[in-house]
Amino acid sequence: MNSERTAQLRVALASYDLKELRVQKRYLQEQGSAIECTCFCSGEKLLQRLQQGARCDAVVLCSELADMSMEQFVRQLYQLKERPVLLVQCAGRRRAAVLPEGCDRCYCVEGTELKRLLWQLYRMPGQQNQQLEQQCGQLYETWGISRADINARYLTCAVSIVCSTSQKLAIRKEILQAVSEQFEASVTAVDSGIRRMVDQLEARPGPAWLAFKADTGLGSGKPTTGKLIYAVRSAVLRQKTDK
Amino acid sequence: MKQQRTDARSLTADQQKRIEEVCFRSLALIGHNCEYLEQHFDRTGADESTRQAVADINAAAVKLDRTLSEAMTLLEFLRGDEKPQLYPVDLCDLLRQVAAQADMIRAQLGVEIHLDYGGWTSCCALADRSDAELLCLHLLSNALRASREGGSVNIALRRTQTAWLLTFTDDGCGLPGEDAQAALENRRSFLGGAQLGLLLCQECCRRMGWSLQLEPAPEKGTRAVVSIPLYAGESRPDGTVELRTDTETEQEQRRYHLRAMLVREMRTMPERGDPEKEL
Repeated sequence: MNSERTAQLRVALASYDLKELRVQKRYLQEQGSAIECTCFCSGEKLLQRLQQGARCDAVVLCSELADMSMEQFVRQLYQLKERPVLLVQCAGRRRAAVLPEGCDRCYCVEGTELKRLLWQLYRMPGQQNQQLEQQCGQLYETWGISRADINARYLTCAVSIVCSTSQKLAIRKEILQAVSEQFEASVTAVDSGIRRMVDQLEARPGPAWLAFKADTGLGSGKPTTGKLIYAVRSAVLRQKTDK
Repeated sequence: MKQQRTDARSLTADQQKRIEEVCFRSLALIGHNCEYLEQHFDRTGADESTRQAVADINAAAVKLDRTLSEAMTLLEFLRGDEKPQLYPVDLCDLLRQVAAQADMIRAQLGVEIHLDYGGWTSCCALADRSDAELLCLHLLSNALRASREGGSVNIALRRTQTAWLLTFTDDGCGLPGEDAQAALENRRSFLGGAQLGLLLCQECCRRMGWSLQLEPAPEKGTRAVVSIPLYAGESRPDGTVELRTDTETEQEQRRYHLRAMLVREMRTMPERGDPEKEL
């Protein structure tokens, strides 16, 4: 499993509740790819660490903190010159109640399931995602498809989601659903978008596409959406291992 | 139509009972499954994180159970359908039952409980026994939440010319608002709770004609003072309906009930420690 792991993502989990921190840390570290979590009950202590330049890719604000409210923490975090991406678990709260108007590099994790947090961590703009997007983009370009194509972007997003966990995910209910939320489109639109991309490739199959299908064991027929997502994931992970 | 609208806006006793049944049955099912899993793990083995996860599920269910019970009792009190059953009750006996749990509290929280009757061996007051138990339990729980390991809670009973004064004094975080540090300490101790306990205590007092006041303790911490009117009837509780039927079995049941409530209460106490070291 280690060979499948992508670059280390450092996450600071913040909550007053040790039980909440414990389950989130264990879930992220055990089921996700290489995520390293550090837990904080004190907002002051976390802000101090960030000020001292501790490497942190994302802060996950799970609930109130022992020494300050969520709002106070967000305000003070936004006063730092260098700050990581902020993910706020909005379970039961309105986004506007926690996040100030127009703050950048800040995302709301809707719902209470931990896998949503995991997906959000892998979807947030950052080195890891950029790297994955770049690899997928290069692959699509060998097939003659622009990386900016919306269907290609759906596929990349789906690949980043399956890369974030070693669990087998349900295609429609979990992967496509998460992509549709990200792009604010319906699951059907995402599914048919990826299928159209396959149709386009199958209509005039180039050598790179045929080689990709052969290398990833897709066979000679038209691949399903699910098979294509996992095949691109294998290709991307193989590239990483080769490097 | 107007009548229907009014009904829809208030929760009747029957509706409340149905809600309680649904919620408490679900909570009981969670609790039973945790209990089964713990027993199953003892037989088959499980790693530490699996056991911890089950313990955390159970603790969350207990916390929800407690909060729901508090909210439902409060609703019941506020609706005022059921009047309190006031009988002469021996407060010394009630406090002895509370103090009997001192060993368990010391073992689990490292907090000492001291009981001081001020020389009285019995103290008769008109009370609803279950309201009085609920009041004592919540005042003790608040004091324990505010206390740190090595701290102490003093429960004292004194008589003035007009009333009995029952006090719960802790040496913990103190009331918020005294200064910024005290406010922060108070927040750390009570964050995450619905904070219905104090409301419930006030309601218990109101129902029994008692009064409750919170004040800073002389040196450090908080003192809760319950003022209880003197009982004009017999000075000893002999011959009262409440105590005539108070058999040994009933006393045993009460002790068990109080202990069970306290055990549940302690399971809802926040976990303390440094997350960077412990997680």
